[in-house]
Amino acid sequence: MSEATSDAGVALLSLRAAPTELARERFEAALAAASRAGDDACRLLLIDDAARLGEHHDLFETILASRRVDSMICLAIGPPVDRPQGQALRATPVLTVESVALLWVGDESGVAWRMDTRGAVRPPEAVQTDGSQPLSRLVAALLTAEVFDHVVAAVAQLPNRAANPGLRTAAGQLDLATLLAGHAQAIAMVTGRDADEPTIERGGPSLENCELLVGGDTVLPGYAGPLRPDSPLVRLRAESERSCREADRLVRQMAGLSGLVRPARSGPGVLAAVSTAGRRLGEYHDALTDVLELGDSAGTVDSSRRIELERQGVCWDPVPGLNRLTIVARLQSAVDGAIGRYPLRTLASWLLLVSDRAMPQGSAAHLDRLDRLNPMATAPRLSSPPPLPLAAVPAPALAAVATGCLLAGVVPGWWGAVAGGVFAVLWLVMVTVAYRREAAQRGERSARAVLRSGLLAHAGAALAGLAAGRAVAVALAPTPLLSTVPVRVATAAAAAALLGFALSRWWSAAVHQWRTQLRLDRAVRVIAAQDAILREAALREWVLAGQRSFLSDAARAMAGAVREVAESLDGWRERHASDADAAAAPVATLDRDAVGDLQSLLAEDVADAARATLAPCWEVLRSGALDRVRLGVAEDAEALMDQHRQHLARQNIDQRPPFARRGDDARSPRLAQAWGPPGHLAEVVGAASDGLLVQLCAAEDLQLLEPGRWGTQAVRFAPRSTQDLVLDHGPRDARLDDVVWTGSGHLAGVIRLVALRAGAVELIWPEEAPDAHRL
Amino acid sequence: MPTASDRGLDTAVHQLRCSDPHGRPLTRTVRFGPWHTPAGALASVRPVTAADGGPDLAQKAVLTDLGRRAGYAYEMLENEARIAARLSHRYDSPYAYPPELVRLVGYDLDGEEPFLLFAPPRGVSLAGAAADLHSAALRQLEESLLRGVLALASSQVVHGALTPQTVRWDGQCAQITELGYARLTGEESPPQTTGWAAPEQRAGGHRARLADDVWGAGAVIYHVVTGAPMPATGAPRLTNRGEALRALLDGVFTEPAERRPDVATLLRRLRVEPSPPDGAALTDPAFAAGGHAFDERLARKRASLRPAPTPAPPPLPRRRRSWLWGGATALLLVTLGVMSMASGVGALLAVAA
Amino acid sequence: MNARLVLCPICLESVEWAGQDLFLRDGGKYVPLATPTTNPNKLAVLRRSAYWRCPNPAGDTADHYLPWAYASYRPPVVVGLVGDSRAGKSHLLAGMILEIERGGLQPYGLGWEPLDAVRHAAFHAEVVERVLGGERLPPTNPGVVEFADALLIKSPVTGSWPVAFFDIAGEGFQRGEREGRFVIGTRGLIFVVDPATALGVVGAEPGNGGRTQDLAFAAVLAQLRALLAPGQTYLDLAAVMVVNKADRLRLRHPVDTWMRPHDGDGHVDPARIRAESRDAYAFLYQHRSAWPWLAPFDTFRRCTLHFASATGGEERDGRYPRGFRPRRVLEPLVALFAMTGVLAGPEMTEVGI
Repeated sequence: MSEATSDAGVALLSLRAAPTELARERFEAALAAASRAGDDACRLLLIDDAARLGEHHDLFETILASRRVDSMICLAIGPPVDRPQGQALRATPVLTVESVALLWVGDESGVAWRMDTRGAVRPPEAVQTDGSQPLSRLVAALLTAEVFDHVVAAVAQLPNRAANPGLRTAAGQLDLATLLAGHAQAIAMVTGRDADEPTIERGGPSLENCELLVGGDTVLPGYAGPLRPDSPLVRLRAESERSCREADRLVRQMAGLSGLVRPARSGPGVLAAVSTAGRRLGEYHDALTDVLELGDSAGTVDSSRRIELERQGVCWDPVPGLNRLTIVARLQSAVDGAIGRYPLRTLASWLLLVSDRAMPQGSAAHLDRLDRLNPMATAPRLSSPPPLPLAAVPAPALAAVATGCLLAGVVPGWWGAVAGGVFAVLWLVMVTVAYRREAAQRGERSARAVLRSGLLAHAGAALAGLAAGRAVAVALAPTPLLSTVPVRVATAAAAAALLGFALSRWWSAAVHQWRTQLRLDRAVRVIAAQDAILREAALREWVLAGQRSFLSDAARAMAGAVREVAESLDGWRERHASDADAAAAPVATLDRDAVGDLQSLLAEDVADAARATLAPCWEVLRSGALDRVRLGVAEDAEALMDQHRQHLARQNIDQRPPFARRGDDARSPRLAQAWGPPGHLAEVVGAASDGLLVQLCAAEDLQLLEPGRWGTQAVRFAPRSTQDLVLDHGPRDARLDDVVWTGSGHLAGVIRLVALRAGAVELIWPEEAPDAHRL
Repeated sequence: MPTASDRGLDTAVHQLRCSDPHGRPLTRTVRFGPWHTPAGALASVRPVTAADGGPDLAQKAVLTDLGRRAGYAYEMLENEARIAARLSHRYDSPYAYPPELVRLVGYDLDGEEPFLLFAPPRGVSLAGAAADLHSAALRQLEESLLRGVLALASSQVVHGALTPQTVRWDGQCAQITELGYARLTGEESPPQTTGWAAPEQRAGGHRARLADDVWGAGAVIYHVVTGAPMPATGAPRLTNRGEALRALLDGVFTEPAERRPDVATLLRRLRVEPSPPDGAALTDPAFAAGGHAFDERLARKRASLRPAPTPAPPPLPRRRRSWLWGGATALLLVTLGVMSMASGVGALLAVAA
Repeated sequence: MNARLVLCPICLESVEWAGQDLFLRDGGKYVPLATPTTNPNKLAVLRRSAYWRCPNPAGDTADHYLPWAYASYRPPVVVGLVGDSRAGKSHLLAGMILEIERGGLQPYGLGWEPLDAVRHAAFHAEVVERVLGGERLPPTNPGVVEFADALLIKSPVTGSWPVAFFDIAGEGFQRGEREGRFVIGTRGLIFVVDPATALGVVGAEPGNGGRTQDLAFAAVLAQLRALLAPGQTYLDLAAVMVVNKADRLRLRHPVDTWMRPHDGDGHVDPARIRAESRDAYAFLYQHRSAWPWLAPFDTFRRCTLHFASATGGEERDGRYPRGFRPRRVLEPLVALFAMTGVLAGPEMTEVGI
């Protein structure tokens, strides 16, 4: 009989083959062991020889009187005291008090017996198919608190509180070789192969607000930006924009008749505004170039440069949420979350990618982008703008002029001639004014020769129109209608309107075209784009340079640590490869089932081991000692693997290993296949209590049992984690209604407690020795 | 001088006799460490500690059994000797030998086990050290490696086998070692099949050029920064990498080698002035003069073979010809002038009319 | 059989060939044909492997025999090796013969066989075997013109050429009958330049500086210039200059490029030969003291220069540790063959000029 470990409040005391004198110490030791295991040990499973029950009467008294034990099961093992007489046990009445149950095991291996038919006995292997010892299973089952309590309660209902147990159990355990092979495979899954390309570049773990540090565009709430609003750079930008807009406005104002006529609108002021805009644009570009070059250094900006940059307006306020601690925290959460989902080596590559992308480049690298906007093509164009494209000989205008003069002169008589002449002269005057304005735009005093010759064309057109009008007037002279005042006024008005329209169109067309050539709107956009580049460079290369460098170095250091974990896990696996070799084949048959699979179970454990190994690295990172991050990683990983292996050997898959994460959804591990083929577990737990079970007594002692309605109690039990396995399989079984769901353990099954015949248990007080101690 | 290989530890003091890179005899009193033959290497190395107060050395030799197995090892050693000697001649005093290159101190190529003596190499090789460097160290490594390649390029030497195994790093400075595959520009170089070498080096019959080393240096930098090995064929993917790496390696892995940037451009990208280290001129002016003397003499010999050429016919008297040309020009000018005047007058008439 | 006048390449006499008595080779000696036969077929077969004894009119050479078909061969090419006694001529010749025996001329389409088998066997045993064993040969006796060996070089295109090699150690050259004969018969000269004397280059042995010229060169050139016709600047004799012991120079520029192993692929490239000649000329030209050694180039119209190493390395304690490894010793010979017509082809006429 091995010393079974006591679980969760059931103390085990075995008095077999032990002298009575040591019994007391053993008792104390058993209680101490049980109290170490958990809650107060108030339950005691006492195993004793059936023949010595009388001997240990004093001990039993002591135990019960000590009040340290609330309930006790006494498992008496041995052949019946007097078979011919039908006596199985000779016990002391102490053992029949309330809260004590007496179980008699007549034969350690037992026989398979069908109680309902009382048929022939079968060997116990017929029932207990997995080759385990029924007695050890019984002890293991009784060591579970819930089962213990229910057995005590069940036996209490039997006469004399004594029973003979029969059972059928199933154990959810896997053999060690399969476990080790699975362990090796799990390690391989977690570490990954070396040749993996970093396939998680796009879908990799997210760093949330630290994405900004690696090039993502994250909006930082509550962050005002790297430039102070009153800084010289921002002011320069505002001025530049303002002058561009002002120039644009002035140019727009130049259009139309009012723009032509009023000297202020089309005077040299417009030209000055445009060239000012160009100059400011150039100044802004130069200022940006200078500041980007000034602040250029790959890595953190040193203090003298920083002072100068602050003077220029860069604001080094700490960016919310982007300090070292948060960076490490984000990195840690990303890595911890990714460990199970991606192999470690891929994760290491990803970390190197992060490190690479977080490395600051220096602000001078943004100069290229600045140049690509090509503001230097815009600025000269504005500083020395092209001339106003005033058409010299605009055909539509000439036609309009001719028509207008025609209309003016169409009235017969002196009115027509005068009106026509006046209009012609007026037109020529306006044209001259236009030419003068155009000259003023170019900054010259006199119009170009081409335009001057255009004057001739205008004059020609006007005179031609006038002549035609006079000719028409002469032709229409007899008509009195044309001489009436309304007609005169009408024609004059029409002529005036037409001439005015023509002039306006001609002038405005030139102004609009000039405006298009100047492209001041684009200049404004260029300024905005430059500002954006500056802000981005300021944020990423200056303000966040320190954080980026830190992230880069931290990610690199962690990549080394992760890689080292992967390599030591692989090394451990290769060193222990011989153990798992033999069991390579069974693993192949252990494939995924509906509930879970060994592989992912063990892989989760190994992943937790990796996380536990890396946990101290994060602390070292937080403290800033980046070159010591990898210290001890390899040894730690290997030690955890050794521990895992031992845990698997001892605890099988009942419990997660000690380094496993305890999260909210920490389910106890369960594996359907550990319980045998599907339905087997349900069948075992739901076995009929009077069916074929292993009864722990010899075949010839079965007559000492009294089955019958009063005489049998059954306790069904199964771990809570297998609830769905037991209940969901097959149609609803009434027998499964009162299963005792245990919190832990790896046994499930049914215990049937059969009462003993009347007289099978003899209770006699032992003789008192005259000098017996009263304990 | 020990002719048989001393394997194993040897604390005895030996006299080491060889020649320095200029051919002068060199004698050192030393102790030898154990021989070490890296896997797949064509030479064995061992440390040499000085017992005469001079600097320590490293000895690289082709041991007898290695030479028997691979006869090509002797040629490699000779090649390494000549390239290293060339560098030693170029950067000898009064110039400073660049720390980024391995330095030859002595040689003996005629003994039974020919050997070379180097100054001890720095640090450790970059193989397996990929993730160990932080960002400042990375930048320093890039700069140092490119400076080394620049020193080689300015001596017209192509290393041809830049890999993490042949580049070493000691925390401050990178060092390029293993000149066995090095060639002068234009010489035929052996095919290299790994992804560390430029694609044009993989086929046979390739003539060494400086662009080969640009690829090689880029490959080493890529590996150290990203931790990933170079793909077996083709260029590595840079699209998702950080801007610093992409900016530095832009164009380095292009296939027609002419389109690759040169080392000076790469150094400028790191904002480092690409000035090669000072060294002696590659060709002696006296040598160049000798070449000219040869050409001249050869030309004379050739001339002595050919018959004398017939004299050219006498040219026309010059005076007459110049008069002809002048007359033609004058006539042309007069015609143009008349035509323009005519058209001008006509225009004026038209306007006046 | 008609009597014909042929030049015996061994005693350098014009002798009459008239189908003299047959001799057969028996082991290491020649024995006369015992019973003459009248069967013409049998006679023809015998003649193919038979020899005849040269009358040896001058009587200053030991008995020598020539192949029966000697008269049908092309005129003999007598090649003289000129140089000081320590210049390494014997080693160079041994290297050449060894390389020929190893099939070095095969890529050029040339076959070979010994002209006088017994003498060749004796030369092989005395000279070639000794250097193969790594021993160093004694210097040539000064003031002597010695016959060294003769081979029959067979070209499918141009026929069979007997080639005889003479060793001319020139100090104290005495003008005598022998020299006169020699000068008449010679078709090609190999001038062996010793860099130790010309440049003062040192290796394991101390430099023999102190000589201002190679006496052998001077003597031979003086003899030959006497043959020049008035008005003729250059001699039309094929000449090759070999910078011997180039293994000592092989870490220098430009020797390092030429001394690299370059398997002769059978292609004679006049441009390459010219480039090597140029480099070798300029190399010697660099040192003013070496200008006298360049004198042959100005004397012969067709002249090439080569770098070669007869031994492949320095000698140690009278032996050559890694054995006798001639390097590039056949290139000068091939150039000589190209210039004398043994090798024919359009590019052969470009060689040397």
